[in-house]
Amino acid sequence: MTALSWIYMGLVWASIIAINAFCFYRMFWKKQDSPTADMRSETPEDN
Amino acid sequence: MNIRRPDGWATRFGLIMAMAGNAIGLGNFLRFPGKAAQFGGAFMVPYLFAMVMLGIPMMWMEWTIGRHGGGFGHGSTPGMFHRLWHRPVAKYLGIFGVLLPAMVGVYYIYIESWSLGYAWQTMTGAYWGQTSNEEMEAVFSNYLGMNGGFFSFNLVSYSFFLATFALNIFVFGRGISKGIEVVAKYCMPTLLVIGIVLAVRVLTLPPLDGRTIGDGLAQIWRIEDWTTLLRSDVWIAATGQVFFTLSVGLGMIHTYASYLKKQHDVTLSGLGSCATNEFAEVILGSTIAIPAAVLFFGATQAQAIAKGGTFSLGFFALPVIFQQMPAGRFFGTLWFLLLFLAGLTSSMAMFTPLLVFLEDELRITRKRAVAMIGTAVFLMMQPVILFMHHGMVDEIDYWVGDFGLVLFAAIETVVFAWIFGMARGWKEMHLGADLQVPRIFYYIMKYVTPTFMVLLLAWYAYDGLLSHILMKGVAVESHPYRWVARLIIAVMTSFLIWGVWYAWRTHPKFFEETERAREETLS
Repeated sequence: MTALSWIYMGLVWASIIAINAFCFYRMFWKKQDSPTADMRSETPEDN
Repeated sequence: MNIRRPDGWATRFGLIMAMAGNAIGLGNFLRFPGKAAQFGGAFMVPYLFAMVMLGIPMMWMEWTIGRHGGGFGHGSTPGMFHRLWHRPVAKYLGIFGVLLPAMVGVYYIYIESWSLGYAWQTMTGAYWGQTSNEEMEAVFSNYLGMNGGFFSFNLVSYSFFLATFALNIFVFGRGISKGIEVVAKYCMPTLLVIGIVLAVRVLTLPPLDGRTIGDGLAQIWRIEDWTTLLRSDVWIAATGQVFFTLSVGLGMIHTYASYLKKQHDVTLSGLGSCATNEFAEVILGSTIAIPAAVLFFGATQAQAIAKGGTFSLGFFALPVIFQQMPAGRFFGTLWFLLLFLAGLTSSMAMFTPLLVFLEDELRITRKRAVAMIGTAVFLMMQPVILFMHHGMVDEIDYWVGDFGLVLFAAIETVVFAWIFGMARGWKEMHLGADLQVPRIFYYIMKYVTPTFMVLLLAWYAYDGLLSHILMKGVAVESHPYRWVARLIIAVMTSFLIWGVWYAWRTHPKFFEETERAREETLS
């Protein structure tokens, strides 16, 4: 592996991990939705 | 409009795990490293490009089409397409989204069962002592019962197939929240943990005969020849891999998303499931098989193994390596369990569109629909297994898992972006969205993705369609068996065409809009 290859791999890995962290943070922490919150609960819109 | 449907996702975590599990399959750990190693680091450039231009946009499209159709009470693509495009042909084009996953499932479950069988054989050390690729190839042929006889049959492999088949039917028969979601919630984290354990084990292997793990990683990440990027085959292979890995163009994502309500997000969830899949594929998939193969066999032989086919890496080379590693039985068993879990979380989705089609459109009870699918699929699997040495799996794989997939993906991108209209599609996609997608993707989804798909379909048709139709390169004695494979697909297609025709003549929900319009006119 050349230095450039390590950087290339590191950038791709870091991007993937960052997107994962961003998505799961937004889904379960920022919205303060519990990962186990019931998705089938009734809402006025359903009726 | 929001028609209430029975069943549905209990939790968002379960939904994301099921969607990611649907995408993460055998291809992440076997097909991806094999393809990447064949082209060197250059492969990753078109792969990442296609992921952004095709993969992620198509994932959003499929989530949106699924949720939109689900709002009208449709859980499968015939009904969903009918709601996107009010032309009689639309619902028939949607048949692909039921046919393709079901037909892929016919052979995929058998392949998945090999992983379970090999996990058992590795744990018990059944093939220990076979220390070359050639010997392991013989073990593999023997396991499948391909010994020159009339049938490909081995009681051991058939038993593991029966167990895997029963497990799949049991899981998908229990429905979304009690079956698929429960399995995904436990299996997906387990799969990722096993993957991380194996990746760490491979990355910490000591140098061997002057070779290091870095040499193995270089097979995937080092671009030695930039002119490789000018070759069409590397672009086609990378684009194809993006399809296979995300399971787009198959109809399963639509069905999963059909259980969402319009206030449920699809943009962030769709991106999250893509990201989880990429973690499994690019980070874990590229770190296990190829680096280990390069360390033990050298770069040249590892490349030759990768070119030898999808299974040569995972089922021939790695078992040889495990025998030379400390605690090899333990890590070998983990490897095959990883493949089995990856296969299970994908295969349990494959018959769901068909099940939902029977329930929603033909109004068959779940119990009866599961019994019908289980019986029909089991019968279809028998010739595929018993005459595997005549290439029945290859034949079905080409028509449904290769060409059919690209065809359906091209159809759905055109229907969504050009017929339903990207402006409406964009608005629909952002209902209840937790993530505002950057505006550039509006133009990518409107112009680039459909055009790219149509061109790719044209290339697929030009490159191999005629030779596949004429069975060029296929031994003459295998032709009748290949025709049987085509007959199986034709019978399934005919049933679905009849099903759509029958449903649209008898089902009251298809006429509700006409009725409402008539009532409004009369009042």
